Order: sequence, then C-alpha cells, then structure tokens
Amino acid sequence: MADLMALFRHAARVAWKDLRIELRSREIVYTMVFFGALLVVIYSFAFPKDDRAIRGSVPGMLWVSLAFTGTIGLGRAFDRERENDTMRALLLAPVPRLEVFLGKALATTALVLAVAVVCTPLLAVFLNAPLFAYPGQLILIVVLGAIGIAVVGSVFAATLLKVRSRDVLLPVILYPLLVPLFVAGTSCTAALVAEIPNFDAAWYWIQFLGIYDAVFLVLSIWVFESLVIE
Amino acid sequence: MMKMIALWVVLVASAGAAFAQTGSGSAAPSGAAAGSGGAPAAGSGGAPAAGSGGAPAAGEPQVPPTSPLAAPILSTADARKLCATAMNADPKFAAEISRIADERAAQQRDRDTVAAHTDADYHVKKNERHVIYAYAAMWIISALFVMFLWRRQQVLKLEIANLRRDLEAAANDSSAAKERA
Amino acid sequence: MKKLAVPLFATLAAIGLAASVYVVFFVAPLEYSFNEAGKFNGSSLFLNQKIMYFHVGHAFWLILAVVVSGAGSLMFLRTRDPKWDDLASSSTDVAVVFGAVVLVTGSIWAKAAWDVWWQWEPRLTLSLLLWLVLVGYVLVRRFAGASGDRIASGMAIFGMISLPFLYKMVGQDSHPAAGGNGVVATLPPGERGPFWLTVASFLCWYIALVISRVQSTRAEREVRELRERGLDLGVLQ
Repeated sequence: MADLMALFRHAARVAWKDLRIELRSREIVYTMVFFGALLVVIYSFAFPKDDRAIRGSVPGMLWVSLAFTGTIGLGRAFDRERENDTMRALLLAPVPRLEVFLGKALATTALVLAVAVVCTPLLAVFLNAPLFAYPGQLILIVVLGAIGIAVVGSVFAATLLKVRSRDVLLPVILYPLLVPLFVAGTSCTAALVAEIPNFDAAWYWIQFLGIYDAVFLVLSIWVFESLVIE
Repeated sequence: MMKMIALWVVLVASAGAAFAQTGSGSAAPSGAAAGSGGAPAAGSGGAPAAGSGGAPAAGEPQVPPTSPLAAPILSTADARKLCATAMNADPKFAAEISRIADERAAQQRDRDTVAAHTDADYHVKKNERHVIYAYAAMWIISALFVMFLWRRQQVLKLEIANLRRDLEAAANDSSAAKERA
Repeated sequence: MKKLAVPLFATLAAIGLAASVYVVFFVAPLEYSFNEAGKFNGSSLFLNQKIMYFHVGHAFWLILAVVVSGAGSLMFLRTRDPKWDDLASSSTDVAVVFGAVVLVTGSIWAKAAWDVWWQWEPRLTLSLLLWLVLVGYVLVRRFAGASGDRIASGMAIFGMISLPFLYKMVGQDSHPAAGGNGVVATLPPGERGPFWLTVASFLCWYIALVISRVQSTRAEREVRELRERGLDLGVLQ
C-alpha cells in the first residue's frame, strides 16, 4: 500500500514537472486548444444544421476533435523531451521508469481535458447542441476517454521518440487501437444528446470505457519497460 | 348438349378457383372432380404469385359476360357435384373430360419446367460474375504477395553478392598489405 | 530438411488447391431452395455459395496467423531473441494478405447475398479493424527504422488485447450462422468434404508462405549483421 502511494506521488511529481514547464510557455496548450476550436468552426460549416443532424453528428465531432488534438499534444510533449535530450536524464533519475510513464500519461490527460473543456462549450454554442443536458455523465465519459488516449498514446509516443516518421506513425498505430474507446465515447455521448436520452446505454458505455482504461493501464505498465528500453 | 354444359362448368369452375387461389392461397380442391385438374389451377395460381417468367394463365377462354352461363358463379363444391353427376351419367364424357384435363396439365407442367430452367439459368449466369470476381481477387492478391516475396529474395541475393565481393576485396587488400610488410 | 520445407508445403498446397477447385465446383452440391410457389427462393445462392469455401478457408488461418504473431511478439519482448521477431513479422505479413482476401471475397459475397458491399456488423467490423492493426504493424516495421521491431511487437500485443473489446462493442449479427452455431456445424453433409479439403490446402499454403518469409527475413538479418560485423572489424568499408 505504501508502495502504491509512493508510486502515485512520484508519478504526480513527474506530471507536475511537465505541467509546470508547460504552464510557463503554454505552447502546447494554446496550440492544442486553438486547433480544437478551429475544428469546431470547420464542423459548423461542414455539416448540416438541422436539429436531428446535429444530435447525430455532435458526438462524432467532439471525439474526433479529442482524437486529433490528443495526437498532436502527445507528439509535441514527447518532442520536447527529445529536443532537450532530457529523456535520458529522466530515465537516469532515481525514479522507476514506470512512474515516469505514469507521470507523462497524467500530464497528457490534463492537456486533453483542457481541450475538451474548451471544445465542448464551443460545440454547444456554435451548433446549438444539448451537450450539457446531463453534465455528470458527459464529464465522466470525457475524463475516461482522455485517460485512455493519454495512456495508450504515451506508450507508443515514447517508443517512437527517435523514429523519423513519428508524426505520421503515431496516428497510424494509435487509432486502430483506440477504436473501442472512440466507439464507447461517441455512443455514450449520442445516448446523452438524443431526444430521449438513454441512460442505460450511457452507463453501459461508461462502464465499458472504465474497464477498457483499467485493462490498458495494466497492460501498459507491464509492457512499457520492455518496449521503451533500448 | 350435356357435354357442352359440363365443359363450360369445368372451365368456369377452374377460372373461379384461380381467383380463389390468389385470395386464399389454399391448394383449393379445384379442377372439379377431374383428376389432375389441380395442376392447371395451381399452375395459374402459382404464376401470378411468383410473377417472374411464369406461364401466362392464358389459354382459358374468357366466358362472354352476356352468356347465360356466366351469370351464376358456382362454388367449387357445387361445380364439382355437377361435374361428377355429368361424368357418372356419361362415361364417354368422363373420358373426354379427363383427357382434356390431362393434356392441359401436361402442357402446364412443360411450361413450368421451362420457366424453372430459365429462372435457374438466369440466377446461375448472374452468380458467375460474382464467383469469377471473387476468385480473381483471391488469385491476384496471392500473386502480388508471391511477387513481393520473390523481389525480396532477389534483393537479398544481390546483397549477399555485394557482401561477398566486399569481403574478397578486403581479404585481397589485407593479404597484399601483409606481403608488403 | 529445412531446405525442403517450403517446396514441400507449396506443392501440397498447390495439389490441394487444384483438387479443391475441382471438388468445389464439380462435386459439392449446388445450393438452392424452393419457396412455396415452386420457384427458386430469393436467398438461394447458387454459385455464389462456392465463394464461401475459400473465404472461410482463409479466415480460419487468418486467426491462426494473428495468434502466432501475437505470441511471437510477446516472446520477442520477453527474450529479445530475433527469431521470435522473425516469426511474428512473417506471420503478420501473411495475415495481411489473408485478411485482404477475406475482406474482398466477403464483400463480393455480401453483394451477391445481401446486395450491399459492406455492413457494420460484428464480424465485418472486427475483421476490418484487425486488418488495420496488422497493416499498421507492417508500416511501422518498414518505416520506423531500427527500433521498429520493438514498436511493432507492442502494437501486436495491444491489438490482441483490444480484440475482446471490439467484439463486445458491436451489436447485431447478420453473418450467416454466426455465434453459437458456427458456419461449420450448419453445413449440409455434401459440402463438408470439400470444405475441409479447402481448409487443409490453405493451411499448407499458409505454412509455405510463413516459412518462406521467415527464411527470407532471417537471411536478410544475417546479411545485415555480417556487414555490420565487417564494418566494426574495419575489414569492410
């Protein structure tokens, strides 16, 4: 138990380091959030605006925005490590690698959630979509989704650190693996946004995504060391 | 005279049974008591139901509306009774009616067989395309992969030859250097 | 023995395939049924049903290829022995090919049987997503440079783990005789012989392809290592 607490404490410290650096320059956050907002604007033009069409397409818009901005954020976050060659320092630190990984995943989750915090109200405003009808469940599913994207993304972004075509390879690797996450997210959001909201379905997908996150967190912890070690 | 009446009765009954067939769909005990009279009625009943390539239910002469026979449309049971009594009364008439009914049935069977064959042929022809595409796709994909494998083998052979050449050159160099030293 | 493996299996596969083509088209019964009016049922498949033989044949060994690939990746990450990696990557290459055949022939069958090219139902969606993971694996191996083998193994393992989730998340099932019955159990007796013959031929085909690819990959690796050793020793330029 004490080990677990120590684990989380160290992971939180790594995450806090990342976030503090980020807060100083705010580069990644600004670009991610702005990209998300631009996507919402493009959706407003790209899709028809009658009520039924909106209810049908808003879940997809939200989660596609999270997917794209998440990939960009992951790439940039690890780029920063690579550019400053701090990855080695990080790995040399007297902190188990696992906690380095968890810290990075936590930081990425925070970034993705920042995008969600901005994009969801924008979608609700521009497209007149009833996204905030049931905020509790929506927040839950978005948080779970962000965790999933961050965890799986961090594993592969870390392995792609020194690879030349990492920018395009990260989506290639990530999206097929994240399909269950996106299906769960969009289905749950669709159930919440529908004219007659389907709470059973929403809870089913929330549980599904919770299990998905748990399984992939454990898998990532197992596999991270052997994947990332040279 | 009785023969004519009976013949018309049989025709009207089978036409009526055909209409009843499309309504209720039952294998109506039509064709009156004529043994294989069920075939023409079932055939002409089946053709409108299935609709494609079926033999037309033509061949039944239309009863002119002004004929006295057209007025009372008998039920199947009544028509059958009438026909049975007529046939029992006159054996020659019975033989004649049976022969006509048999002929009709045979013709209808022939028409049905031809229709079934054309139908099957149409389906098989349509399917041929799909099967050929599917097989072609399978062979093409497999062939592409085999070609890919073969190309890799060629590149490998080239690399091995290069390596061998370089090694020999290096060996010659070192032996030449040893001799000089 | 090893040298003969590929020619042996390839010949077996060729004989098996030739025999299956004959058996499938001339021995196996044609599938059709009649409706009440004595006409052919709209769902009779006639020749289209023949597609099933090699669609399902490839599908069986696609599953095997994926399992071998996943197991090989796991062993490679554990032991770092390159021969496991060879096995995993060869099996994945063949799995991509088999998967492409399954998807294309299945799509043609779908057009013939249900008049749509594609449907978002469980098996189809699963197969497509699995195939995408496999293609990603191949791309990563090609373009990720030296660490590609590690990353690709990670992909394979994650892909295997996400399969149960993919299975749970899709809904209706309109695949012929899917689920508990299984396609095989519902085959009419006349068709079982040809079916198993095609399945066996495609197994030989799979084995031949994988062994050939493994030998090729191993040789490439050895050549690379030899050249590096030569460079290290200063013998080569």
